Amino acid sequence: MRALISVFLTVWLSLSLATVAQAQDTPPEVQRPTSFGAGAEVKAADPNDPHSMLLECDRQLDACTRDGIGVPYLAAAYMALWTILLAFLLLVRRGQSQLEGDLAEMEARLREVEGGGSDH
Amino acid sequence: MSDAPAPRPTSQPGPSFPYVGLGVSAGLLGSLYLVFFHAQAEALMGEVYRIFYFHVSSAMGALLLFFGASLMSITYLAMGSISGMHGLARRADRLAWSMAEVGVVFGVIVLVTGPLWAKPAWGTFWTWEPRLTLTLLIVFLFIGYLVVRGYGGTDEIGRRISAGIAVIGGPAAYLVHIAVELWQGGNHPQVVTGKGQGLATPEMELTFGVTIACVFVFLAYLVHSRYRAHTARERLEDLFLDLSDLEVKS
Repeated sequence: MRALISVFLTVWLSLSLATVAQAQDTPPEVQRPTSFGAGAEVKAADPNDPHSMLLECDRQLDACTRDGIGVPYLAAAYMALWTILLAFLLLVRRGQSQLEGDLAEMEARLREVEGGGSDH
Repeated sequence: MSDAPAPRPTSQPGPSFPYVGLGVSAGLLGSLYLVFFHAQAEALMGEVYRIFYFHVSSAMGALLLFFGASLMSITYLAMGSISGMHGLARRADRLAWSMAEVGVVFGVIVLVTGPLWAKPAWGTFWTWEPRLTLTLLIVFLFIGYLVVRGYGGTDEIGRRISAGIAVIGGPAAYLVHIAVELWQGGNHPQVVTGKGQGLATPEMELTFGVTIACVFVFLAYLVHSRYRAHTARERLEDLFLDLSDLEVKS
């Protein structure tokens, strides 16, 4: 646990320094979001109207481009989340195994003491 | 010798504990289903906004745990000097330790998922705005707390020093919560707290509510598990000391 914390601290400090080097001012046009809205329902394009078909294509292309950029980050975030949780649970399990080992050792020593006591 | 069965030590789990773990796992899987298949995509950010559900839940949980660890540390320091309250003080200290451990884990989750969300949303992984900076600092603070607990041993001095570190965590956690309103700069979203206007659809609200509930139950489960482990470890060390005395006498 101690070694892991030390390694984590070192890695995190390194990443933080690297991030400082890359951090940049947020573009001024990005506003602080105060609500999350669902995508507006889009009426199906009229197949007889080329203009609405082109608009629908543009909309879908924009959505694909946006999601093409964002979805890998979404996947990375959820993978990181479960990896961190799994690592923590494995650490906890290892600590529990050590506890069980110490308990077994104590029971063995107690049996020795009791056995030695009954011999007297 | 009495034939009555020995009382179950408080450090051992009750019979329902594994089932609680299964229930927690099922809840988390259920909330994952709602996040990806029930909530709609967001109007501006698209699919990437789905990080929001676990990111915000983890942030709320981590801040609550840091605040709780701070309160328990204050309780430990205050009660430790009152005669007859040492047992309660030690319990508060173990609870603070458990909360700090789980809080750091979820704080790390926040600091990892946040930049991964920020890159497609803001164009950069990180900005030194108040809420992000304070969150980073508070996670470092409690990592320091854990390092002191790990290397400081289990004696009274190590516990007191680490409790002193954790005391700072309470005000810091509150500052993180109000940072967005206190310092108007920055682009961190403020959707479900303060002046936020919330989520647009019932599906999003349901998903968020279920995710928060599941994450909080998971947090409580982890804290309880760690508390039991620390209690068992302390009792074992006390028993080892008694056993060593017994071995010397025999």
